[in-house]
Amino acid sequence: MSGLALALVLLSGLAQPDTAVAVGRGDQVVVQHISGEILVRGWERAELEVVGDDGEAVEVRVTRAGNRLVIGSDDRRGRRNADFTLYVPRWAPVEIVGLELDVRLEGLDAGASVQNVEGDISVRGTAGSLAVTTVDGEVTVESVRGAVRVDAQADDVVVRDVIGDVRVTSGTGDIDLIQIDGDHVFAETIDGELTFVGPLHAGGTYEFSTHSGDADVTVPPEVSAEVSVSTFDGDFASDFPVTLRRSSTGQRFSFTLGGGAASLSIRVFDGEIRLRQGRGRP
Amino acid sequence: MSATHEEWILQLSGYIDGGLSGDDRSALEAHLAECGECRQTLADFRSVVARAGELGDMLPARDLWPGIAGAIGAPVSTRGAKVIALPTVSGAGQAPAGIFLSRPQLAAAAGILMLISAVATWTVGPGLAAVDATDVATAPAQESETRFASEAAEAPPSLAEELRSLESALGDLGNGLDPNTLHIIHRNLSVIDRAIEDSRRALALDPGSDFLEEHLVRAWERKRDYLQSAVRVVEWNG
Repeated sequence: MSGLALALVLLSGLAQPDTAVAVGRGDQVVVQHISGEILVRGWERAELEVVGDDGEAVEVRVTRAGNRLVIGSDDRRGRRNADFTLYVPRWAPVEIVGLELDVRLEGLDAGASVQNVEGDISVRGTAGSLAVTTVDGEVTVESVRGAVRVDAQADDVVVRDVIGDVRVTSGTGDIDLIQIDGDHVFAETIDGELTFVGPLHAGGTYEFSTHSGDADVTVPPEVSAEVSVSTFDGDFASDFPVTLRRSSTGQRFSFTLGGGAASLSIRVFDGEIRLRQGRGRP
Repeated sequence: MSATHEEWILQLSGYIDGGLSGDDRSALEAHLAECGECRQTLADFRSVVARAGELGDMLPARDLWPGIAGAIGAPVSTRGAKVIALPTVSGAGQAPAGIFLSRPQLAAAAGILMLISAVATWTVGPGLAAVDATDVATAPAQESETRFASEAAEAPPSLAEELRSLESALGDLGNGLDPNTLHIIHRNLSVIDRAIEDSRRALALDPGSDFLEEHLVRAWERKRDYLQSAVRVVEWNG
């Protein structure tokens, strides 16, 4: 641990400062009440380490509560500002709760959750369920195997190269879902653009909704789906040959692509809907 | 004037705005003197207008359906993206046949009362005309950042109580929040409220639209979801 400037204070008294902390199977790593920039990186060792960036001192408290190893400040009011890299076993689930955190997660295999108020969140190369909730800050998720859930309120969300179900909501940000391979995909923004690129699986459900913004959906040419498109004030453009059927009431119409094996719903109140053929981002 | 009850109600917005002619105003006032229900509706109106600190965007200028109606049942070209051209709303002959809102509907969704201003606009220029937001009087924006003005009473009954509770919780807990965070929360709530208002107006123009009904309910649900998230954020950091 060259260059480490770390003070680990274990309330349990089982370790001395500047030592790594053993993590057992079934343990969960929790980061609480820290502000700053943190990188959480999975590694093969069965222990966690906190490494200060650029050799700066990091003083955090590590406590154990049952199977939870909590890294944080002494109390909720005593929030610490710290920039550091946290190494954790790949197989340990990670939970992060922050106020003003820029977070990067890499190489975690047992899922993770991030609850933050302000700051960007980036997740790359993880497996297991991922849940991100943030008020203000961009969210980027790449190369994930597992279900992804993102609840962002005021900024853009990019989810790319995911094998698993995806659910993303945003208040005033764009949502980009690129190369999503899942059975159930849901994306909704109030005031933002929405983009989806990916296959539609038989029996799968794919729902995209924006109140004010365009929806751009790209699916393979051989797609098989029942498609429902709804808009109050907008255009609809399709690369596919479609025959529109109007629903009983309102501005909703539907059509069938191929055998209609999947269910695709696109709802836009005020914006354009574009349905494209393709396998990659146009 | 042998107006129906609904027609009296439709005149209330113009009455508030001072847009009625002298005869119409006199006739309406005579009716109000006799009709307690209309007096109550007028009071609701004024209450809503007073609370309308922020109006939604102007009504969308175009309606999809007239443009796609001709395409129903007809194959769409596969040569590139087929765009279904939509007419602008300003064209003649697209006026809604009329909107009749019952008193219970108005009472249940007080925000729809503001739509009556739009109805008044239609009487001047038919069609899905954009509503001039200045037609509706507005109260000064709420100054207190930690108060979350409740319109939960206008929400679907299944959500109203929960929304009220969440707004109350957020108001109570929000005092300790960072001002910037509070600002973000307020801003996002205003975006959702605007979406709700847009949906209401659209639904008033096309009351039979299941899409718009669902969209409006979903907007309320989105507000509930957002409030839940906001309360959680406050609790994490309280």
